[in-house]
Amino acid sequence: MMSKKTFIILLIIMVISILAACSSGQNDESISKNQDNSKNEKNTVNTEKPTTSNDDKSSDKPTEKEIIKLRFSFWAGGDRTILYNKILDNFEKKHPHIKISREIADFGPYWDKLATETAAGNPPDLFQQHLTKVVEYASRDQLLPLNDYVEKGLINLSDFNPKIIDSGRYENEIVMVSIGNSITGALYNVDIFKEAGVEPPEWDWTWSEFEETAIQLANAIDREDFWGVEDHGGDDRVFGEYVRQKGGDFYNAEGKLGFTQEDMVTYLSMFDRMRKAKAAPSPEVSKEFAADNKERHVLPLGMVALSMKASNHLGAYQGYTENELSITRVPNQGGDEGGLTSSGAYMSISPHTEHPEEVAMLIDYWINDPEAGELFLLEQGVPGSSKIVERIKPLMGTTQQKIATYVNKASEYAAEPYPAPASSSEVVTLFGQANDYVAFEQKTIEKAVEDFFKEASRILK
Amino acid sequence: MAFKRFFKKNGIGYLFLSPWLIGLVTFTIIPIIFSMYLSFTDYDLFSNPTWVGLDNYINMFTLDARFINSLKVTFIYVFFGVFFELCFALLLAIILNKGLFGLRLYRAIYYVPSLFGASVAIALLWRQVFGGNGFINEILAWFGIEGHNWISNPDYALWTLIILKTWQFGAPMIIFLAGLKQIPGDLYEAAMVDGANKWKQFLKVTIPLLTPIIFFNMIMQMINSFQAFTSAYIVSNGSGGPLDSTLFYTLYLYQQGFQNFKMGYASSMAWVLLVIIAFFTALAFLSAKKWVHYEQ
Repeated sequence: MMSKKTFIILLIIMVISILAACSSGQNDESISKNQDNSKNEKNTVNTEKPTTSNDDKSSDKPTEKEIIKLRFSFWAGGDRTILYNKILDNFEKKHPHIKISREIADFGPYWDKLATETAAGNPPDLFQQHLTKVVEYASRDQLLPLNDYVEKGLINLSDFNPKIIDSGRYENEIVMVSIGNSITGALYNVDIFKEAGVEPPEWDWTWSEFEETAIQLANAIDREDFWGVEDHGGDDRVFGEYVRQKGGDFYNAEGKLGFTQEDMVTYLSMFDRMRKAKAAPSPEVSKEFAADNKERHVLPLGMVALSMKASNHLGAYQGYTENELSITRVPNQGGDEGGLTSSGAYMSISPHTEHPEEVAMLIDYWINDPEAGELFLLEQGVPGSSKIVERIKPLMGTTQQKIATYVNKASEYAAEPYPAPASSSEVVTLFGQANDYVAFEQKTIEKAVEDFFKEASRILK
Repeated sequence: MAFKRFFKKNGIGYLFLSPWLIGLVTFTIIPIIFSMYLSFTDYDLFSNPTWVGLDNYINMFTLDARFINSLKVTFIYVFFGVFFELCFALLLAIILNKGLFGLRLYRAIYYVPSLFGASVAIALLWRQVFGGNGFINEILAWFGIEGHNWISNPDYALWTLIILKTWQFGAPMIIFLAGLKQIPGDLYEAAMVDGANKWKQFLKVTIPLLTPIIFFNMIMQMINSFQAFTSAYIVSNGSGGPLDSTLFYTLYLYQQGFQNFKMGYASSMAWVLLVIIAFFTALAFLSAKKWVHYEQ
């Protein structure tokens, strides 16, 4: 029989081995420690590489067998996931020493996840960014500045429209690269317009024509689950365009509200009238279909005939309906003002990554390599590189051509909104709620606007 | 000296416990202490926390209307949810106690919802069932009643969640069943001899002897309900429901912490919740002296 001493020793060994097993795998770090000399510096990276960006194996890797693991996080689902995977697999084939693990989520939870991972100091090497969120991350130094990489040609932006490059800047540093550019527009169902006998919207239609059209649609079509247009009364982005056309903006340069109470009252009243005329859905219906689920959105479901979204949504929605969808400009105030919102998806590199050059390679591949461009097409909007756009023109389907034509035509009407201040997510929630209070008849429009201003001013202090 | 003796006696025990103890300290105790610290700071997850003293706690109760609303919503949920759930649990336990044919089957069927009722899958299902064109409205249509869109109407959304809570009565029901079986049969006989009818027997024999179980179930369900999160998050799409009508306390905490990047504020909310739960539990225990009869 074992002596007590032996037993205790065995026990201690067991405990220690359990603790060792429970600690996270540190093995990959030891491999990569031999690699790049730019490990954990948060600021600009010093590279000694030659300026060509197309080399497979870079010159300062001691052995060519070491596998580099990158983590790439993006929002996707369904077909988009398959597309992204294909492009990433192609990249891996081209660069067999790089393996990319894919972290996928829906657009909403994606940001919760990214915030948590970033807070834990463990963000993915490469992740997608968005104009509405970039300030939160850039202002807290969570995006690697890319000016050096662009200058050295590691991320080749020479074919990009300078406006698009600038949209990815924060305080003059490039912090994100566009993988697709969209402009907001009015997406509408051509077939339902025909059915209703209503003329499709003109390029420079006004908000009053918008209201009229919605009412005409609702009157012409007698279906129980059909309303004219989507209820955008609580949509801070559409409202932002509305006030921009009047010379203001949702936020002003000081980070406070950039519009008046009258503006908001007029806007909410318009949608209130439409809801009462059944030209916009009731709030219950709107809420039920409010999730960011393109398949179950009121436009492809045929519940409304018009919805204002970013141009790339046209592709996704068209895939979910038999009717023909098209896109035109957002209504304006009667002049030639623009005020449209540029949007799209971008890619950013984490300042904590251990392989910034490899990540830069992946970004460069995504935006410049024809192999990627021909697969990605207009998935996140019009590609930034004019060369790629030329190359994929013959490959574009009808819907994508519509999008590309629209973005081209509408780009002169696009404006850069002031970046959203730190507490913007709370303000956005409150703005949506103001419309809800009116829609559910719990507050008058004036009261809802007053309360919103009080709360928002307090938060934006 | 006594220390050494203590270790000689209990050392091996603690050695066996050590993996669990280390886990407890690392993953539970230390985060709790850190959260206490964070509750006095302004922490946006990315930069370092800045000390703000009691500001979070003061602002919570004086400036934050959504916070007060979340308290109201949570209290309604806890009160009605626990009440209805326990009523159903007791009712079903009494019925099943009569020894019906297929008792085991019924017990299992009623128990199953409480196994995964709090899950994401069921919440998603609930969203469908109570939606505008959902199952409930279809059934109502058979009777010619036009159903509302239950989950996206601020007057009804919370009640769908309360129904979800009530539906999970299976677990407390099993406990009630066990309690019922422990009541000695001769007490009922004695009561019958004294001329008590079934209802009087229920009131004077069953209920008093069940009070310890009622108390137990009440406390457990109450603590559980205060912490409910998943159902509200899923059914309301993370928003807290139409017009904050399903803004559970924990959901609001989550929004503040992870969507508005105010982790310090969220931490102070967590501690306030602890105090609230402790307060009501203490209240329950104090009141127990009056109405819980332990058999002696």
